[in-house]
Amino acid sequence: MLSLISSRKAITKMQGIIIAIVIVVAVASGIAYYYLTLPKLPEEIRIGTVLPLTGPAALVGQDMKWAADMAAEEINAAGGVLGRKVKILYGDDESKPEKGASETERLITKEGVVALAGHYHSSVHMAAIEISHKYMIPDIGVSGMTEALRLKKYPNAFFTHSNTTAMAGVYARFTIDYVKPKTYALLSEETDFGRLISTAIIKYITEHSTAKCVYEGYAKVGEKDYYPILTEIKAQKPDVILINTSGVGVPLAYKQARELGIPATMIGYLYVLKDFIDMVGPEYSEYYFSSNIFARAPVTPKTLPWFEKYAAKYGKEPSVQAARQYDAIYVVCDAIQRAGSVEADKIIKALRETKFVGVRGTITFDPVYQEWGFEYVEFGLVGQIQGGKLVVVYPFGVAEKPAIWQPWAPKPS
Amino acid sequence: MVSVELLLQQIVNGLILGSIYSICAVGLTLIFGVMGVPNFAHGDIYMLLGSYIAFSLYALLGEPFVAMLGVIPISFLVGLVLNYTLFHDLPRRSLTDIMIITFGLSMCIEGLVLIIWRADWHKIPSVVTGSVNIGGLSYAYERVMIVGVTIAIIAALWIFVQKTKWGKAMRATQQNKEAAQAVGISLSRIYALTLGIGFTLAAIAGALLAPVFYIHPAIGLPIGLKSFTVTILAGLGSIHGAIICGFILGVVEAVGGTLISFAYADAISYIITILVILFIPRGLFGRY
Repeated sequence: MLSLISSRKAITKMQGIIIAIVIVVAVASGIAYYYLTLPKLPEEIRIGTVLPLTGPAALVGQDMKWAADMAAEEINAAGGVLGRKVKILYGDDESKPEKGASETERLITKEGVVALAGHYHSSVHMAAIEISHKYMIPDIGVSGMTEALRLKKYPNAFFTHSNTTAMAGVYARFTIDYVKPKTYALLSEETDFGRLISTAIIKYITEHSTAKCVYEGYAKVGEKDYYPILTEIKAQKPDVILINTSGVGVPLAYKQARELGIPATMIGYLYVLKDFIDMVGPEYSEYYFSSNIFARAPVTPKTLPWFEKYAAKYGKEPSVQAARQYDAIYVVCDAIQRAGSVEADKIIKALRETKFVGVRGTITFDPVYQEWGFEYVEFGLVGQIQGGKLVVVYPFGVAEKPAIWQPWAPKPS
Repeated sequence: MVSVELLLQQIVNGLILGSIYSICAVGLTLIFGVMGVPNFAHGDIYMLLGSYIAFSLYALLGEPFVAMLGVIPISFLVGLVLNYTLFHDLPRRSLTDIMIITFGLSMCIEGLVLIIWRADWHKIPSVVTGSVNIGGLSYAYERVMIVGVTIAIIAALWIFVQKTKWGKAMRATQQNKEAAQAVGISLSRIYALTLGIGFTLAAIAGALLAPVFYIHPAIGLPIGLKSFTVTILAGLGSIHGAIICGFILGVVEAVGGTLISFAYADAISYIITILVILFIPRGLFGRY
């Protein structure tokens, strides 16, 4: 062998044959290894869910994961789908689009998921949907509200929730009907969602009232110190501040606005009441207005039992995102059952024919954008924290109790 | 057009934010200046030994002030232990080795935190509640307290470094290790003291901010990056530079956000740092 390496002579015919055999055997072994270690068709049905399990939105991601786990447990307890167990495989997008895309690719190519149901951030889903579209894997979005996702009209993409315009509508309507401001300010996050909802709110308020936007500000995702931007908002003296951050940014921004003593009505979101009160503190949380709430109301026969079960199991009420995630797992399993197959095109066809009664209503998909997009419970309602509880205060006709004017905010003159 | 009043208010906001940058960066600068070790796990020390230990002590004792005080001896002890184990040979190692080891430590800490406390958000209650009016703006007492504590700690550190025997020994080691050894200074003891103090400073910052913001495994990286930015801006090994530049950076972010956009506040501070280094490679206060 040493002579083979160091010799200046040409290799002999026998040596050439040996080398050729070694190369062929090596290549054949590599190919065989690759195919032998490919994931086998699993006994279980694998569904992929990409969520922000770490990062600034982990608060919400955890709720969504619990909801997905609960749905899978129930489905398996009832016999599974097509006689097989359902297994949810998770990817952590860390609230980053590039991570969302890479985790989606991993779930499809390495884990062999037959469908995807998840995503929280619009910007993450915008990146991930390109991956699911490349592989034509059914992809059900549960939270990305940007219209741009729908406008792609990807045949494999479905949306079990409404879009930014609908969400902005209830914000804006409550602001006009209840606060009746002369001026307002927007504090949003620098993401697709933040930009779009700000634009939609401004458009709606401009078309339906004479209120003027005195400040439109954007903070980065994961911002912790809102004092500088809130200082600027305070200087503009708005009658109302609409907070459109996400994850833990909502309670942080609100709490810091209260600390700064800004004399304005404040409206935002809250994901889970208990988490919000823990973060903000009981002294500041009272009288907070929130859109995007999931009310304890009998929307369908499943709503209240699920609400109570989730609260009992996890020690806190479910967020609207958790409700969407729960419904999405059921929707995809229902489609697989009706399709009688785990082949992607058959699942997609079955999804188009969905009429599933979930905890948030009867879910169907429109033929153009494949979105369940009417204004249902959570987008239509505004709640207020009164006595440590979240009560529905708007629309006025369905309010549980009247709204209480926030004591620190003077009424617009 | 931005009013003078608003600018002044933003300067106050920036100084409050900058006080945290200063105290974190001073710890990092101290370790680098005396030991020659850029500790890439510094942000994770802030996160684990500061915020999470404070949270755990609060869960155990039910008293946030005691919990915050408790991080001091714990973080100092951890600094001592790590000096005689993981860090003991680092001053003699190459930069590549140091980066691998400290990055590895950073990843271990994040993994440990995720295992023990998971990715849930946590918070501890404020030590002081209420607010005070400064220049027409209302500030939470706890924020004002942070500035006060930071100034007190920096003053104490200055006295220690300038007036005590151990502090002089640290300065001597920073200036010339061989000469310091020649006059009988024990490098291993100085390194242990330095690492203990450096870790303690980061932990104090983490504990101070635990009631103000939130506690989560991802909070270490941003503060680690800011600490390095301040250290580079000030000049490697310049303690007084790190103090001043921490405040400068906070003000730059607050005022820059007002003048340009708050979404780009971080980018503004990084761009300014790059520009300074381009023209003054040793930093604003560095000597090397």
